[in-house]
Amino acid sequence: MPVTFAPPRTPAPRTTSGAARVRALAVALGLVVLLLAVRAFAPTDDGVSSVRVLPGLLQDFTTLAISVVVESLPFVVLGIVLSIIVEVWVPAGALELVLPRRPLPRRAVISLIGMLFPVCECGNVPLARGLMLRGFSPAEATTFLVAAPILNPLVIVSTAQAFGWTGAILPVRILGGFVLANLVGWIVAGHRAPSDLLVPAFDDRCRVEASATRARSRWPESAAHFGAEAATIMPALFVGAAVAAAIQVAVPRSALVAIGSNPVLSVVAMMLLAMTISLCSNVDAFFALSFSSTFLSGSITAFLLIGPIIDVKMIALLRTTFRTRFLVLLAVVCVVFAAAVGWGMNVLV
Amino acid sequence: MSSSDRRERWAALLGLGATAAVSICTLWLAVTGGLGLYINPRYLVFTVALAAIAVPASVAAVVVVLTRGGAVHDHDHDATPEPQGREARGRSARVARDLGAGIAAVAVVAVTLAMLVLPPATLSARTAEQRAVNAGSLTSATGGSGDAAATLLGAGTTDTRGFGVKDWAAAIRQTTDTSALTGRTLTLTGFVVRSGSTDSFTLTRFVISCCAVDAQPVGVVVLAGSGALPDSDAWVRVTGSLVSNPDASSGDRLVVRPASITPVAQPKDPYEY
Repeated sequence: MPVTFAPPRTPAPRTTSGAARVRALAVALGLVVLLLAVRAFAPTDDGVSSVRVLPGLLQDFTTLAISVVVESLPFVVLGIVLSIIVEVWVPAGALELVLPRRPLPRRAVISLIGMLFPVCECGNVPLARGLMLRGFSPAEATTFLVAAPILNPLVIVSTAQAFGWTGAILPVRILGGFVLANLVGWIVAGHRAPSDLLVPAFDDRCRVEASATRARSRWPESAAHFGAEAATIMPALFVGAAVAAAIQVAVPRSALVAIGSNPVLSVVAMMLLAMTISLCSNVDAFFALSFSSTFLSGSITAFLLIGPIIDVKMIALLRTTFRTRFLVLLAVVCVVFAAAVGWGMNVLV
Repeated sequence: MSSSDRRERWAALLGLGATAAVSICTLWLAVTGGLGLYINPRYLVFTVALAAIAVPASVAAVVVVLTRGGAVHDHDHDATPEPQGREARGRSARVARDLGAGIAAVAVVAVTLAMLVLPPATLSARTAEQRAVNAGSLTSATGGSGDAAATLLGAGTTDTRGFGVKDWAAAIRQTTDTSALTGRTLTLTGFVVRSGSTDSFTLTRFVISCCAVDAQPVGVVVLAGSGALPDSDAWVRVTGSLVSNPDASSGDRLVVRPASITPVAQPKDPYEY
């Protein structure tokens, strides 16, 4: 049955009356009950006949797309919640007080923020947006964006669980993430007009927020922020999930895995795999581990460096905030860097 | 209300509706035990906790969007006029943007509806073939009993009752001395992948480390004989013993000669980890 996302309504007045708020709450709760009822009464698999409503190809596409959304949504929600904390609840000037003033050490410290906010890459997009709305420069936000999905405790622990504390893969991932983030930040900072890298709508919003006075009611502001971020991030997440699922259905994975032992091509293959599969950086180490006997360690490290930053889901999410020309720059820098590290390791280790 | 305000409001309601719908479906799946079809149970608590936060947050945000009447965030559009250069870029840019937003809206609605009204489903044999069964080399990759595969090779007394398809597939692939495994009896449940063969099929399971996107198929070859081949995608329980593959050219050195092949219901949790 069709589901309407919003009920018909008359244009509400600008001022909020209590009655209007109660009516809106009733509508919102009604929506929740409706969604729950639809899901509860829709057909389910009875476990015996294994209902397949859709033909195999479309069914697998649907399962894959849903699995990306289900896997990513909690991180996106966590990222939005943290961005609300950063944007609405942390007092103005508090963050800025503890950061060094000179650009290079400042970005170096910013690249470690992820140690305090352990969200993976999809949660970092709303958080980076929150930081920019607070007045962080695009260079600083980008440094955070590239560093945080690698330099955070969850990712370090899961990588260590998969590959151990010894070996070259873990230290190279950590160090590589740090260097790459600061390299990207340094390049963006050198841009003559970094705000040109942002999409106009978001750039405008940053300017408005930066000049806004802070006297306001925080809870409604938090709810409004959640709505604004959901409006921007969710469509991107779904598009990213659909593209990732479509690639998975269309491209035989065996084609990539077949070239595992070639020291040059295997780096390319693992990077392509990382970019198409769009795994969350918290768990990609476990997936990469299953390729460790067929692929060289440099290729695995290239996978672990590029995956958290450049993949189809991430590109869709980044497009909400950054212009295409910036994404091309980011992709080129990250791909060249990860490939160089991977090839270097394959030769040296 | 300007048209851009209206657009922004609908975008917010769509995003919030999708957030609420996906979160509600996630909670429903967690309650009915179907969440394992999409993600590794390791992430169950985290996923459920954030979904439980997302539902009231979406409700609160919908209330704000509906009662503010205007833009989602409180700012005056007139205060920030579009610069001349952007205005001049004109219609084609706007059409492109609307088209992009339209495609995104279709993706949101389609995936959300699929989650709401379709029965949750596992991946099919088609994907198993396309990902090449046993292409990766899952051994201890996902932890757990996979490590036991190595021990199995040496000792004749290893308890193999807890072995899944992943463990047997790893043991068969890793062994240097196939005679150590020949004659072992096993009972395994999995789904059928028939890759063109007329007298055998691959009893397959997907192994997932995070979610269904990274699912890797593992399997053992079952010599069912041409008369008794089950359909692709069917779930079966096979009891049998390991024998050397009569087809010496095959990469699978050991295969299962079945004593029985019983059709079974798809398990509640169809993946191995």
